[in-house]
Amino acid sequence: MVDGKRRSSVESPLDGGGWSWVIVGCCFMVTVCTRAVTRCISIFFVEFQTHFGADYATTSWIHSLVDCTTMLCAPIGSLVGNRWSCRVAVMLGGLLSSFGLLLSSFSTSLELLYLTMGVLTGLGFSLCYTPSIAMVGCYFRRRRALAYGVAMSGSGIGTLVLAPVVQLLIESYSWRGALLVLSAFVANLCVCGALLRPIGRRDSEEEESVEEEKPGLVSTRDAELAVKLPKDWDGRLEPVPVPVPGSPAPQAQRGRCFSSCFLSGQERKLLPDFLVLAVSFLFLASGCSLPFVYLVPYALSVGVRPQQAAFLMSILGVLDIVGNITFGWLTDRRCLKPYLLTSYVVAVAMEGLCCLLAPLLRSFSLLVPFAVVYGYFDGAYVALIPVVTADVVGARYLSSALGVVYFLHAIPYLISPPIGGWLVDLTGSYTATFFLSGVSLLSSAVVIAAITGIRRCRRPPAPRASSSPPTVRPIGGSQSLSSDRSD
Amino acid sequence: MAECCFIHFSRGDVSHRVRASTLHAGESHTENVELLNPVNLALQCTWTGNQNKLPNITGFWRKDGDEVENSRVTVQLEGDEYELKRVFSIVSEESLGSYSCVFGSEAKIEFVLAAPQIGEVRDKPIVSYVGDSVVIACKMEETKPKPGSWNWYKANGTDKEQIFVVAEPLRYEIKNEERKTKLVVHNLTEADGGLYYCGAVYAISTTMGHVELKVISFQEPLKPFIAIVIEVIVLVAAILLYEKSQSKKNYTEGSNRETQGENNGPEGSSSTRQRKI
Repeated sequence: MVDGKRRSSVESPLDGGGWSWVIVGCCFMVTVCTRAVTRCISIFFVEFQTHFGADYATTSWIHSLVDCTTMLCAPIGSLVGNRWSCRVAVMLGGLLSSFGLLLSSFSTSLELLYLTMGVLTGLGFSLCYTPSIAMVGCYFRRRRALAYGVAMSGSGIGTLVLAPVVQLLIESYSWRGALLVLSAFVANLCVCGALLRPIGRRDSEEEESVEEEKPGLVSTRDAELAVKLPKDWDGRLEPVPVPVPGSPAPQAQRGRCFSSCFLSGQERKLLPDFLVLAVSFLFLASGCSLPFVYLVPYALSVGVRPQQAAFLMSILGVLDIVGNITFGWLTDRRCLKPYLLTSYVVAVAMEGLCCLLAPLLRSFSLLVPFAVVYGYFDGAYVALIPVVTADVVGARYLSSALGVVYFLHAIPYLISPPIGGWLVDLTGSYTATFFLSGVSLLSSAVVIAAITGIRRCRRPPAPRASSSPPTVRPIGGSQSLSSDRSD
Repeated sequence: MAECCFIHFSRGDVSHRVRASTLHAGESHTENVELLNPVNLALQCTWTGNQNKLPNITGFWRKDGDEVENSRVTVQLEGDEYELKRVFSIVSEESLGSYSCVFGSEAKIEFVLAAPQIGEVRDKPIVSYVGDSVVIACKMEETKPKPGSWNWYKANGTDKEQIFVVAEPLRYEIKNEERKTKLVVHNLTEADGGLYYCGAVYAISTTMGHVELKVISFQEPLKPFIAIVIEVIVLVAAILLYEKSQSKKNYTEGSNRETQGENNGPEGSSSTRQRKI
């Protein structure tokens, strides 16, 4: 099977082959079962409040706990995926989250719900989320952004479909029965896991992909890009032993534990780029959730009717999906492919600008374009996060890097809505909150743009040499933070 | 357009109120009047008349469709308008209802006298399970006056039976706040299903809101649950078995090709490296 795979992948890259799109479908279902289900948990709040006699703040902790645990335990997900396989990770996660929801349906107190729904289910989700996203990255090269766009649109489409279904389940079976049926639905994660077929041995897959990259790079890219390739390699030269089937051991060992083992030479070269990306993601996560939480209250405070405010949220949701898929498709176009990082920076910057302008929009007809633009670029950057990460760290470390990336999202997601709320209470208006959101998003964009600019100006004149003949690192796209942009 | 004005004044320990309404030609109109306490209510109707402004017309009052005794009077045209006014003594629930002033056979204004109604009524039934406990809640809006207390009733055929916690303290619990009330029923059985009424008690009457409770057994949601779990198990088994059978096939094929492939392997990689540089 290994040989058959190698041959077929040399003939036609994995990109766009039949099985790749099945993987995208699996990741789509995983996103539906994790992110969309998380969002639908807020539909249960009214029921929990009535049944347990709690108030809104106490019940909303459940949603925050699930979200936070999913992101916080993302490195565990990538660790399990690296150590065993994505399939094992996703199936285990599916079983765990299904079990968590099952226990919740029998829960007799709110605290027990925190544990079963918040921690257990969140942990299960985190085991599924990162490995499946990393898997998509392994299977795609050229059309990576589109594949990610389709896969990530699962959260938007899933929310649209699941929300009325969950409402119907609650009306028919009350919240206990609804959680029971939901736990069975989430068990479908095991099916997705079963489909995530490991490509031979996962480590030898990386070596195979290195081999495939070589013919791929020369034959599929434009001539001018091929000429520029030596410049790209300047930042990435390191000795890679010739891959021989059966002896990938040293690389594999190092590839396995990004965070726990200490960084080798090639990883050390990656670290500055990744750190810049990490800092920008921290800013991004601080700013991006605030408008979703505070748009409706802000609209109501400027006199928009409740139905119109709800409509604004629907616009955000739908444009999210549209942005996911179309922006992914757009950045895969040949003309935009070299400018992947720029597109990402532009998307985030546009969001930041929208947020800064939001306090000036004081009527429904002005808030609609805001929702449209913000929703579109929100979907855009979500689809691009894994692509940009893959570009910076390469396919080998994608799983571990994604774990760290989503881990960095956890704490800002958790604390920024309450901070936004505190600002609203303090200043009496939503201006400060939107200002905070806009500034965070713009800083995120500026960090990447500035560091890339500085690196370009300070590019070392001589290439960093290595004794053995240079071989290409598995870089997905044609752009990285430290190298020259191939214009 | 009908205009209305509202004057309130007290005399002694019974307060008088005047509720007035003006009707133009060819219209009928309904006014909702919210009452909390027993009151002597003066209802006043003014009609601007039609094309033939007759000097006298007959006007009378109706309560709930039946004519009020001795209410027929002859109304004079004064200043281009006809006016009917009568004081009604509203003391209890029977006095509440729909009062109409009728001018001849043409114009009518209806006053609906009622205690504050419970606005948010849950139209979908509350579902709960046998053996579980359920919380049924009723709420009076902030804009409406506070009720003095709350009562709970269970529908028994066409009657309502009041629920007394003292009688069955283990099964029922009533928690009252000013504007909200909660009925907690423990240890549900199928017989507990049906309509429950929450009554907001005001001096003049008690307004009712109703909620339906459905008690189902645990088997109900278990059916879709088991169906989906079976689907998951079947799919996972099918996928894994299919893959196993595929890998067995490829293994037998692959072992034949491997011996050929390995010879090409190292040469192939070196040639690609040369192509690179």
